Amino acid sequence: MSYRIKPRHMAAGLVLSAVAATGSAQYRDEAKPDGITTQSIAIWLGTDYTGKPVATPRDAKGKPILNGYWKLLHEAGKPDGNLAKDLPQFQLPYTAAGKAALAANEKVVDPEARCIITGIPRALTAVLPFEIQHNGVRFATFHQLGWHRLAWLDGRKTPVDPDPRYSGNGIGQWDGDTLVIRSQGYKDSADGRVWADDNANPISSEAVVVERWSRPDYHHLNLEFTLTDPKYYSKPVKYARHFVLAPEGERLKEFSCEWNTYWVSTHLEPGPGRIGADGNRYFGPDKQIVPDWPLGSVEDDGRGTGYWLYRKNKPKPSDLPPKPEAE
Amino acid sequence: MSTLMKSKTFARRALLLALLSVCVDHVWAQSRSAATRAPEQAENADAETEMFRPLIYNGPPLPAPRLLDGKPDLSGFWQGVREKGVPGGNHGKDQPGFILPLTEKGKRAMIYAQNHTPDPEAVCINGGIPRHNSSGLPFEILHTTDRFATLYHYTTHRSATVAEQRPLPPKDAISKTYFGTNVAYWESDTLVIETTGLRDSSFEKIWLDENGNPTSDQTRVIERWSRPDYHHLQLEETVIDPKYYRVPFKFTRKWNYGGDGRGVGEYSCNENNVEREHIGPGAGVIGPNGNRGFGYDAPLPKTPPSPDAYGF
Repeated sequence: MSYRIKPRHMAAGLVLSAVAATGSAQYRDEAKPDGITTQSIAIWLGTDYTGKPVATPRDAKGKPILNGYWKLLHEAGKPDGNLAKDLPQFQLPYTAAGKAALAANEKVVDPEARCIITGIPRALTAVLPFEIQHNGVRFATFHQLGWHRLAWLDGRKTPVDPDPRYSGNGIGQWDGDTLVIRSQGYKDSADGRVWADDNANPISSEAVVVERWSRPDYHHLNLEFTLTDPKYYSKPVKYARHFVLAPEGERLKEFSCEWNTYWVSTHLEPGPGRIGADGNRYFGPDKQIVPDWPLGSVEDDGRGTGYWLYRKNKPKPSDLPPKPEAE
Repeated sequence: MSTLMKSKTFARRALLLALLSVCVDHVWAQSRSAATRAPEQAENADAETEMFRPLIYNGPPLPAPRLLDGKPDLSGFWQGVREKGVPGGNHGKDQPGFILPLTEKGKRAMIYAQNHTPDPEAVCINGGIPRHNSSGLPFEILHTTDRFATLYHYTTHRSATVAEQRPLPPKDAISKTYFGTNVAYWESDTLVIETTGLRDSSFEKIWLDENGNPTSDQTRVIERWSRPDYHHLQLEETVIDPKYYRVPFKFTRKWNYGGDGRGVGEYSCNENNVEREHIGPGAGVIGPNGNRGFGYDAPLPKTPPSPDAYGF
């Protein structure tokens, strides 16, 4: 991939480097707690509801309604954004091709940072909240980076030769009170544009993801999914998560992922960043488990890229000086 | 899609439609499901052809479906009705000469957009409100009792919470966005969405429509959506923007139902957007018919010209 770097970008980069070198950087200083992490945790993560259980809402056919704005109940010690979250030592059963695909992914810039659609299962492993809306025929999850994924609940048959998609081609049906969505026809990491999670794990065109969604009561949502991808994984990968309904009035924030920015074209590094033995790539110092709000902001809180990863001694997008376009 | 492909596809489609219309006339009345289901996909149809292929329904109006609370359900795949002699993608389509009542500031903002801003959609920025309402692309609505979402071709969306009528939040509590901050409520069987908190064309990458008309940080958009019957969706929209427009103006539009089981696909706008600097500013020349035109109307020759024709 070639980026066109303008002289003004180089000049701005040099200025930034100089600022960083003199130690008067605007970006977050690991030595000085600033409250941003605490605020971001409150914005992104769920706090469990411990009141009296309220009945699951149901539609005219008696099936559960899963609609709502859902926040993750983060599991202590478990890495978010890692497909191997529930596996021993957080190790995925890669095939040889899978290992090679992971190595290749680590050499490309995070597709989210390039504002390519976050697909499935990656969006389901993210730490960020999301919204579900569905009716009898359509199921949608709306995600914080501005994308949505859609599936059909209209009883259709599996398509024979579907267009490859980042979100696959999902078809759902009810198994009792559990909505089961089976998706296939995925884009392949070999294209250099899709990761299965934040940690750069690969997904192939042979992948099948089966999601099982249930809402045991009004305030709780459970997800279990299985990724079966014989090209990159020697056995199916299982993954489970719990979400809590967000407090009344909270919603996804609008985010326009704009990768044609000064930041993206001059500062991105390939790969997911260093992943520790605990399976987490983290979003910042002190093992920050959520990204900062504003998210990967370039100019103001509604524009940015999915590149919010804090790297030691590197400025992050929201620390940049005002938009170079205004020069 | 090339014009050659388009004309071939068109010919194939016209033939198919002619055949279909003969058959369909006899069949439509037999069952509701036959009248509402998605048309069969043409052989080898590409995604773009598929997106614009209409559902042919000539039967009597069927009632609009209802949500659990008895209100009309606007969900579905909707394809814009193109009015003859009226431009698409132009919010001034209902105005004399297809020109919006721009203030002096508005004229300056329009000229600025034409000379400085690459089409925001061309560089994969959220299209925003009200721009998507005059787009030529079909869109999908997913509507539940308390939420209303319009899902666009770019795999982006706008959502609104449907509740009792209430004021918009105060200006200082709003962070400016492309889709704005909204409230949605019912007036009888019409869903009203009021939107404010939008970005400004003079210094941000937002246009009012495909033609590069401006919108400001004072803009308020009032959309009135209704589904008079199963197969039709209509919008009456008022744009109030005292900064760029002398008077509030109206925009009305109709969409046809695309058929049960159809919806927007997936489209990753940023997938290969590395040639931004080759995209010039502005909407291009807008003709007296109010259209900016998306390409050449003349069909391509049957055999492609040699490389010499391109002046390489």
